[in-house]
Amino acid sequence: MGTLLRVRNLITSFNTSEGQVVAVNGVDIDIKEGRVLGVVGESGCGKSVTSLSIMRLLPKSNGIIAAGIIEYNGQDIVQLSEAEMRNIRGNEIAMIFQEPMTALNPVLPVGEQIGEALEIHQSLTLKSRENRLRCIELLKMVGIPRAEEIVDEYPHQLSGGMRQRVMIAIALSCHPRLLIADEPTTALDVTIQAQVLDLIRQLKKQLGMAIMFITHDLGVIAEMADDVIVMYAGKIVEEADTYTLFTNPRHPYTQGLLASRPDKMKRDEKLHCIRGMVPSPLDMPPGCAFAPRCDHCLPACYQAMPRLKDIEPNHRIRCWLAEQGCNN
Amino acid sequence: MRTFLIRRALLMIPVVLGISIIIFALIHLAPGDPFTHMIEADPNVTTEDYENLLRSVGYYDPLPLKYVKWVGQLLRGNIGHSISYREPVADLIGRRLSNTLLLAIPALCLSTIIAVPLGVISATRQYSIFDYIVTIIAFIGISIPAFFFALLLVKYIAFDLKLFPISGLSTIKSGFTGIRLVFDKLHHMALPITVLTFVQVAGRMRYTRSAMLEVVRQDYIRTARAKGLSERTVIYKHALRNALIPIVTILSVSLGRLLSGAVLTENVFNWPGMGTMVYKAIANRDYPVVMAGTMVLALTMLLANILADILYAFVDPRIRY
Repeated sequence: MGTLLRVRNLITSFNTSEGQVVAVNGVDIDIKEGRVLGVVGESGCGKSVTSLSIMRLLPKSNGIIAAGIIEYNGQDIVQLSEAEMRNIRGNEIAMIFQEPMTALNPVLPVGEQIGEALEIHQSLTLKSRENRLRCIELLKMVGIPRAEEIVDEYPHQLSGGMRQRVMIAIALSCHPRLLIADEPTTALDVTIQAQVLDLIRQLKKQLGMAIMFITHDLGVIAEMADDVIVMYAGKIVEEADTYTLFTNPRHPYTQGLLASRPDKMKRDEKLHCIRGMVPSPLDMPPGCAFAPRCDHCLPACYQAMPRLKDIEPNHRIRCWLAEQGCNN
Repeated sequence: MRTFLIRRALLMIPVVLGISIIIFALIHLAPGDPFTHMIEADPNVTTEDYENLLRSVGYYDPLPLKYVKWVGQLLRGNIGHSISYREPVADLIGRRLSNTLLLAIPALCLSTIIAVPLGVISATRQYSIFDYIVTIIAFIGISIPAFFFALLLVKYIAFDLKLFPISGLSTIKSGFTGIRLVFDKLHHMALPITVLTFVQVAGRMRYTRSAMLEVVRQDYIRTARAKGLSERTVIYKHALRNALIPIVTILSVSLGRLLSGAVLTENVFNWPGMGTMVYKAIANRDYPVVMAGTMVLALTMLLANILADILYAFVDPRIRY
């Protein structure tokens, strides 16, 4: 299967009043046609910024892709003009966002918000009969009952789960080949979360697109992803297929994350946690960013950042333990 | 919507009643009486005659009785007879209000047409040279008193350059008819409208700018961009429609304020509108005109607020009455 998206050495930074903040620092990503890549990490590790960089939707005032290439279908989209990029957005690469309550425009009926995408990418004139029928069809596809009526309703008349379904309908309206889902279920309650995940999985099977699934919920990753990237402080620290990552995590950070999951078998025990806090991007420690929180820290960890190293086929970690051949 | 309007209309009754009491009370707190200016200086009128005159118009009635008399007349549709203009107040206000509208409506439309696009462009190009220039102009517009700006125009454009008439509603005794009369009117309207427009553009443009800046940060703007919509559609459809919600509110309020007549501007240009009328009526102790005038202004303010509520429901689908 061909590689749909190939990101190399992506560096994204923000100009803030306190100086330049590098939010994503040298990330490499490969997404193959029809595969689901999970991206995990705590808040502020650069997951969302990575996805916004791929969409080229960084805040115009201060966000810049400082270096790197983002190849979609063999074409570097960092170099594309804004007009060419608009052709890809919503058409080839679509995105669903975290907050369904605020991600839809409150003053436009949902049908119009879906129809807009159809108008620009599939030349179905907004307000035309075909456009409307297609919107209703899409709403039915994402499992919205009474689609003929909902199409004329406004976002505030729908529940959070319904709104997220509408978001998915917008994203999938033009059959994108890559769907970026940025924490699509985080803001939903658990039962709705399960329904939305089911829906995404089923639609993936039906439409065959690749998905980049961003979340901080390891349970969701286990359910959805084929491959996983673990990010920490703007860098990838571990990369493997989902089974390997869950059964044989090698980076101390991944191990810590997996150990921190609440386990229903051990009811009365204290929850495990990773000590310390994520370092501020304005004040990164030299060397490995995770070193101050790491239980297996070596002197080398404070000196320099290790590289992302293959430790077995399709399994790479960024850790001095691997560099020095230790088996932790 | 209908029940909402009925409820609002019913709610207006106690408000109007309250306003009438306040206006009545304030006017009676002020010193002087209706004849002060008319006959005080006349040596032929004796104090006794003067007292009799006052008694005959009910000046010495107890306040509550006066109030009841006044309201009773109002309810019968008689809003009084002007002391200084010597004609029914209703006729006077009708004429003055239409003169004020002649300035207010064009100024409101013009300033909105100018201010909203400027605000939008200013917001989408925040901190650009364009933004700074517009901000400076707005700053001048907000800081400069309307009457001073009006005087500048009168001095330089009307008096020195003689491009526009200095004051008034139309050229006196010109005998213009038809299209020439219209042009003459427009010619006289130009400067006062310029002043009112400029003063309003400043505030409204800043308001639009901040409303837009607030809206473009919202998630749904990112969603719109993620669909691949052009920047124009994102700004003028998705963002502006949301920014219009607060803009519409202040528009309706400023409509109310404009109808109350821009007192200073009207005075500088000697424009016979509501503002000059009330101002002169106060100076002349013309109680019927002051009371009726202020009542009309209060009512237009109330109606403007209801208009704001109605427009609100139009621009924001989340609001249903």
